[in-house]
Amino acid sequence: MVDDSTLILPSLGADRDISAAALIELRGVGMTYPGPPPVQALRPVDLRVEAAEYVAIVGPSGSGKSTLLHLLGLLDIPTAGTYLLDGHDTSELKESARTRLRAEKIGFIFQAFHLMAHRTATENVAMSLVYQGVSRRRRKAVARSKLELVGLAHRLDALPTTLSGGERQRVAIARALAAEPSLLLCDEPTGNLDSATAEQVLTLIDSLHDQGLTVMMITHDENVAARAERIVTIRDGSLAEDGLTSK
Amino acid sequence: MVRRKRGAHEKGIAVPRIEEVPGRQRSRFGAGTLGIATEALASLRGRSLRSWMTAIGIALGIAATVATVGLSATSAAAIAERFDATEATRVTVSFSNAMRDDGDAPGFEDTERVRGLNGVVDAGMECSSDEEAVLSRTAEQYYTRTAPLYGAEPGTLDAYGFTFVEGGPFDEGHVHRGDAVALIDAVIARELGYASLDGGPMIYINGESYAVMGIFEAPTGEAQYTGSVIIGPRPCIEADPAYSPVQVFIRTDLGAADKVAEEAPLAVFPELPGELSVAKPSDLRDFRKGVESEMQALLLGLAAVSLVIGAVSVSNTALVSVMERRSEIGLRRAVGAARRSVAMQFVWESTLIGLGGGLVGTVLGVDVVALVSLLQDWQIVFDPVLLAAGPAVGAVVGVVAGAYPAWRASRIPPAVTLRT
Repeated sequence: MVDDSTLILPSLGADRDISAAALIELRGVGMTYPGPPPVQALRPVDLRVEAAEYVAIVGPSGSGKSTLLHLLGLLDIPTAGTYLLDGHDTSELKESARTRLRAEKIGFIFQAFHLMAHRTATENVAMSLVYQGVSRRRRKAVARSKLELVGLAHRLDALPTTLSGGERQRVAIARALAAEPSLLLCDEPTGNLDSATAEQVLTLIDSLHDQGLTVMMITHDENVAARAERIVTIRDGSLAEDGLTSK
Repeated sequence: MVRRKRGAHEKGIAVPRIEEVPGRQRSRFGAGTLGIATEALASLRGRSLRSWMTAIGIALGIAATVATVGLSATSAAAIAERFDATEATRVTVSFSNAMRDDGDAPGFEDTERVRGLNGVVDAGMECSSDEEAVLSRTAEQYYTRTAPLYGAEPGTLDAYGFTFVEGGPFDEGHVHRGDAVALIDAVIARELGYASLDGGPMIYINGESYAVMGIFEAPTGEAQYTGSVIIGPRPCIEADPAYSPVQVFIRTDLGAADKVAEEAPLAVFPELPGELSVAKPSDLRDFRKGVESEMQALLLGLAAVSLVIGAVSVSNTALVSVMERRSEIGLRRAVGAARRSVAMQFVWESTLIGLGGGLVGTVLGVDVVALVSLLQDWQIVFDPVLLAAGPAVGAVVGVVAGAYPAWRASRIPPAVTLRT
């Protein structure tokens, strides 16, 4: 849960009070793919996530978890309802503004890592800053810093093909952090990892949350979900449960 | 001011700390574009073999274009050099058929007057029999063959630069006396069995005997005299209706042709100089330029076709690449790439491929020109603009070829490509 303490976290960049307002607010947000035939992937849901929360989204395959994550990540546009991200009504935004907001507010971690095979770890991380007009020197500096943060200072110039699964996911986390996002969206981040490596990655995500980052994680693993402060369950495209964990 | 919650650090758990790093700061204008270009270059480096294979298509097109233009310029210069040495010094003044039918023809004194003009090296009249003459070594004509028959002055032979393998040309004395003398081409001589001119052999032309004075080889570029027989200019002077109208062939000093062409008609036939037609080097040069221009247009057309093929190849490869890289495109969109940025990266990639192909093609094209010039012993003539134009055209072809794949890439929805 959000703490009212006023410790400074410079890495998150912008001056904002994380306790002031909801970072995410969904009001009747739904998604129907036009088909044919039309498929209602997500029935209208209401959801409010405060800044610095750690929320797990669970549910069986095909329940609508990924659809919700794509909507939260501004990768898709809901066909119903209103989505407020950090106070911005995203349904009012043009594509370019949505892209800019996504770049500035959201970091993604995927199950499949999505690293570019022929680029070094540093280049993979720095890539996310290209589209924000950050100079090459600064991109490199930030990328190195983020890789050091995730414990890969010794693998800066390694190609993904030479990295272990855990290392690859840590590179992906560093990439997600490069743009100093407010929200970290994780789509089954440990789905391709063995349990020991998964534990390391989850510990890393825990630590990022501990430092004030809002984390939303899709998972079907109850043990992983249990690390969150709050679990949202989706079933058949509807928000079935929403409760706090013991954390 | 950012507030943060109490976390693992405060609880004493060893976890990595987010270091203080510079926040997001927009750099100067253009860094984004430069960054996208750098990303495009890096993507090409990661697929270097495919990139180069694709670039080869454009390289061949550019090489063909550069070689075509380069060889055209080089060969034109070489031809012009030779042209200046031979063609630019020849002037012909021709009588018309009507003049011949009226009995108009120059006399010895007329051609003598031409030879006296400033800038004239040699000159003489000539005319050709409408029908080939029947040749034989004997009056009985046991063995005959036919050949073109020309009437010509000694000056004509000098002006053309005839060379003799046996004997020599008839002279002014023979001509003025009206001697029955003839010169025969080496091919005819061989066929009729004239091994040498010892003993003063005769030749029967249309049944009339002539003394063979010399066996010649037709001058280079004067194919009409190959396999022919030449007698004195009597048929020309008499405007014989069985012969072509008279033509006065003039060899001039280099650079004097135009002036001689102006003065020659009056010298050749003062009675009706305006009736004569004059051919001078500039006319021939224009004709040559016309032919060269048409040839160059044809070759450039072929080069353009190969460029189009190269462009289609690049476009096709880029389109395949877009399909293969859907996941990468989705990721770039997820981390903040606008549609325009994605499109720009693909355009950059095809542009760089085009530029690379253009550079390689230019080098290849120049090499071809150099090699051909070396083999032909030509002086290389190359417009430096072409060296810059090759890569530039390649880049433009790349832009055009990459436009559609780039558009397709920009329309790929990120959510679909990132599903795992």
